[in-house]
Amino acid sequence: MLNAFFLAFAYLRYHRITTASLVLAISLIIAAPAATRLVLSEAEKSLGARAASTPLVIGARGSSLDLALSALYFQGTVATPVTQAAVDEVWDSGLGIAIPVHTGFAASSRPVVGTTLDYFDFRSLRPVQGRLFAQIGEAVVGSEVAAGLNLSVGDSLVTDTSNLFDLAGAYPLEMTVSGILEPGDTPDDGAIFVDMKTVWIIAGIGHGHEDSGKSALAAGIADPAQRIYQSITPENVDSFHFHQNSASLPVSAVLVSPYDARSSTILQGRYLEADNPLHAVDPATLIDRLLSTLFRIGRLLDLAIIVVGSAAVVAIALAVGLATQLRRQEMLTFFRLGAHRGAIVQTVMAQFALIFLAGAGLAATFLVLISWLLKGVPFAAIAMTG
Amino acid sequence: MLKTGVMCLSILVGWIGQASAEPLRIHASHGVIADFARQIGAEHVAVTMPVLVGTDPAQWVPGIADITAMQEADLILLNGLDYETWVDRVSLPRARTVETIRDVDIDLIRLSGVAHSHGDGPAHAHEGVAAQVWMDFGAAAKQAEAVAMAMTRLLPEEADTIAGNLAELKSELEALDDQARFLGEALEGRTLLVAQPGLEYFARAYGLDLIEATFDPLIPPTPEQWAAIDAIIARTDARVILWQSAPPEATRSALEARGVITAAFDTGASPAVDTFFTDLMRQNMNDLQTALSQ
Repeated sequence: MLNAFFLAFAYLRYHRITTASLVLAISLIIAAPAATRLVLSEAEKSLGARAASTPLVIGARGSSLDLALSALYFQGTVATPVTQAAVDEVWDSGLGIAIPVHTGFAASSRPVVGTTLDYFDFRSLRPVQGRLFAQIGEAVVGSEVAAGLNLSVGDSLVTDTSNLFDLAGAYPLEMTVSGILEPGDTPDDGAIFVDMKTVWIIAGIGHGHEDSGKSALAAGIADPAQRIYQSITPENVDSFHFHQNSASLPVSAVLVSPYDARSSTILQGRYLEADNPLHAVDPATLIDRLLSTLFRIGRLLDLAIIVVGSAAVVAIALAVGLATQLRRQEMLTFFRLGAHRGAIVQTVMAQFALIFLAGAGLAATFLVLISWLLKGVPFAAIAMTG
Repeated sequence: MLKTGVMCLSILVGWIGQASAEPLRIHASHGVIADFARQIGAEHVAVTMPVLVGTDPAQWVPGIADITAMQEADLILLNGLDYETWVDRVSLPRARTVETIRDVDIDLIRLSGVAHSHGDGPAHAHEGVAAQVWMDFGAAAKQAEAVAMAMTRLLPEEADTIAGNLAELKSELEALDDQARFLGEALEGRTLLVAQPGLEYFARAYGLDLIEATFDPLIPPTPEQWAAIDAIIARTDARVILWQSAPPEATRSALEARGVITAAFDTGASPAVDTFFTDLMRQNMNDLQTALSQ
């Protein structure tokens, strides 16, 4: 038997290009449907788990998907923000925990998410270094942000300018990293979290009266090339304030964790009326719907792959059949040299086995590679652009 | 509405549950709430109040370490009504924070905002809403209820103990209320001076006629302040001045020379108080009656 494999290997090595083509074809036939399943499974894991752990999202009436993607995955911005009053309304109802989320700002192209400390309890997030934010101007960064920007506790990062042509807009804000979150394979890893009051300062709603923009302006006349930003320091922290009533301050969405099923039903009922500017979204149902669409597309893809794969199998079988015909003389030489018919069959079967095994191995390698690449795929962003 | 502020704590039940054998870690922002929490929670709570002894909690500003410690507490008990001036600049978990004043149904008192200064310090005025509602003992009972509800939510297995301790505390507060009404009736028609703000709700609830003299508890009054006091003494029958802590000896002597007796009347907010709130209030009223009888 070993002799058969030895001869088969020698044959395949001699016909390198033909062998490589067959191995590649077989690996693709195996890997393609598995890769589709892998992508769908990863999308389900990435989107589904997050949605399942978020009972309700309340936001301005409009696209439910945009609202959920913004509040859960920090992708995109909601067209119409709601106000802090929507958060207070849930608290006052006594039906659940209300956690405001503000998205839309970025620092070094990473999303800056305004929220409250309840968010960290809600998502069971703990800092692996440092601590959660304690006062305005502090930020807690996700593990990917810390690694990507090489940040440590005590470092600072500045928010990106949101609109270069907004001359009346607020300066970017320099924030101090107070803590780094433990990795969780969730969108939290790629976000920068700040207190709602900090995000309102970034939005220009709150401001201080000392040291604003001094960090760069102190050097002299404003230079267009010079970076100008405001900082919150122990010296000026007390001067920061808001001119708006707290109830009117903007919030992108409200994550709600009802106390029980009854509270959830009551809350959802309150936001059903069409004339209510707010609506409640059940992210699990929404994402399930999105995923079921994806799976329907996946099934169509499977069908296409089966058809194409079958055609490829037939083509390979034909090629093998023709090759066997062409090798008739070679088999005869084997026989004349004294090889038993069984040994010749064994050698040919060993060649097929080696090609199939190599194809399966290559397919497995592809799948491992795809699986690794999928870890960084922002499914929420794809869903949003899709 | 009372339950509203407390309902939000349910998210913590599971979190706390695992450590139910451990006393509940409570942060209180002033001495009265801390005392209520200790009395109601007894051995089931560990109450901390980071304000330094001798510091007015209303003037205290927490450092980062204080804020972090607060964030780690199972329950953060605040007064509300901007008593904690720092609260807008720090990050606290709303689900674990209870404003004890939130559900107290009381007409708020706006401070007159008379401009004054302490020694050489800058002139300022106590403006906004008076926050010491606990000096109306009916309102204090409501604050105690808010504390008890928050605790019950986190320690449901101790609900009976908490309810029993609350009932006992409310009974003492009712007795205080009766004593204060009796005092108010005895003082009808008489004017009292008060050295610092903080007794507005006490005066309104029990019918006391108080005039704020705005003395600094530590710095001797300026000649202008003495002139203002002399003017008040001249136009009223005020012969007693209430201090939240003992005045400087020189100030006390100067007041006595003007025929004005000093009487301690501590609101209980400061952590220096090493006694129960109810005992302190009883002592305050007894001291006042003694001073009036002199």
